[in-house]
Amino acid sequence: MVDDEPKNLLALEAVLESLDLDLIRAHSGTEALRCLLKDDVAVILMDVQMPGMDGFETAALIRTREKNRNSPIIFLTAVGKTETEMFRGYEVGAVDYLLKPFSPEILRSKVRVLVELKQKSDEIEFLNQRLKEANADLERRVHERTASLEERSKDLDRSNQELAQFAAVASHDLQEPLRTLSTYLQLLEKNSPGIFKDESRQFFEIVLDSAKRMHQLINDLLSFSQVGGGERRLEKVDCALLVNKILAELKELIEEKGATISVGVMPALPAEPILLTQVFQNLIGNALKFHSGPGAKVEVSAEDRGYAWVFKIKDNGIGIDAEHFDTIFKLFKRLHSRDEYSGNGLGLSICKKVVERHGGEIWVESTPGLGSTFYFSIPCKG
Amino acid sequence: MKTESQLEARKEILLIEDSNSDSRLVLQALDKNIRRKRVVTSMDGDQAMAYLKKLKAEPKPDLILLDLNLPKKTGFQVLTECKSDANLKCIPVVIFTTSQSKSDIKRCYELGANSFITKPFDLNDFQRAIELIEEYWLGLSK
Repeated sequence: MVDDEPKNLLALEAVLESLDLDLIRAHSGTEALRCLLKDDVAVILMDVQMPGMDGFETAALIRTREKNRNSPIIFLTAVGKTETEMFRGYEVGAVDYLLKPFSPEILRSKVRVLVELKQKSDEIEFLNQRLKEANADLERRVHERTASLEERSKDLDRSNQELAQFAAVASHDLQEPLRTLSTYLQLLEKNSPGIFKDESRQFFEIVLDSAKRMHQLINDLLSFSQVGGGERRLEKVDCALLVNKILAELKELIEEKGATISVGVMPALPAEPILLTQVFQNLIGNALKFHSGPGAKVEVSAEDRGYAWVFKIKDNGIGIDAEHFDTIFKLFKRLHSRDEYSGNGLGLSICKKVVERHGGEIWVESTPGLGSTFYFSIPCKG
Repeated sequence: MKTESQLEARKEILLIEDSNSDSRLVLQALDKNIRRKRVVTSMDGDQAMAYLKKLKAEPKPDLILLDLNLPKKTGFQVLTECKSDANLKCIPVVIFTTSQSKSDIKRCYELGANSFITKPFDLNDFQRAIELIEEYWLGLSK
């Protein structure tokens, strides 16, 4: 409250007493400025007519201070409110004008409103501050989590890489002595022609065959272990070209089985070519393998289902019992003895791993004795 | 380093292979065909490079058969050194190795290998592969 006449200040105090506020008294503009240096106030009640600096000048100075800029000022004046004077008051930032003698209720109301405003304003400021702190805390936690996840991810990558390396080295170190075993056994026989006769010859063949099976198994294990690793590197794969290449490689088997193969329209889509090749190789190979007698027929086709292409490999082979529809995709799962049909039970699990890595699915429909149809989907967009 | 002359030494093959059993197989396969060649074998990349560098103006091998799995200096390193040396880069290098990894194959061709053959598992295929290599790179026909 700023007024040069002490009795006015007392009067103001009396009026505002019931509001239970902190009342700061100043007897001049200068004193007011000094008080405002220390405190931030909710309302400034300013007498206009004061010796030295009048209310307007004081107000103008108050407004220049950053701290007090937003403190509302109510001018109390005895002089008649002329338009020009009022304008001057508002110009220096007054919020309101009151003529003396003023109504205590009106003054109380106005002060109360402004005080509440200040309180609300302070509350908002406080909440704002809390929000900022909570935000900063949240950010810090997200940062920590991300760093921790990144590290886990790096560990996983490193682990995958080590595994792939291990598999490659293990495969090589296993293949070499195996090859030596197999080739030198053959050399043995070549060096002494006729050394293996009748039953011995059979034993010789069994050993060679075993070595060959192990050779195939190591290769398949290596393939399987290599499906998981690292980021996907998708390329545009021309499936028609891919399938034809595979059919060329399978020429001997196709001729041996006297099989007819038909290939429908194939798409070009984003995939990992080496992996996708394995899927076709395994499925087409199986279609040819699991057929007894002449007249084998294999149909390879593809259908655009919008979100994905669904490939179909249909054969007229021995078929599969419904109870095995899920288990055949499991690692090492075989449905026949080695004498009936060759294979190490890895082919379909490799297919499943590859297809799922591409975001697709693989499944089978079959009737024992009539044939099987294998389906797998590859998303169009990768 | 062992050398085995075959009749009148004319074409020379440098075989860089660290496995005794494999190098014996190769020699056996080369033996089968009575062709004019001599085979120099080395079990170690450093030794092989020393041999190649020493030759300078003298007649150099007509073919290098290189295994990737060598102790100390790797097959890749030997390949790189051969192909970056002005005197040696014209010698055809056929990678003859156990690996069939696509990344190995790609890397070898990128480093300038002339051919990449995975050692076949079956004896007959192995011998046939060596025959074909000889025919193609040495122009030696039966």
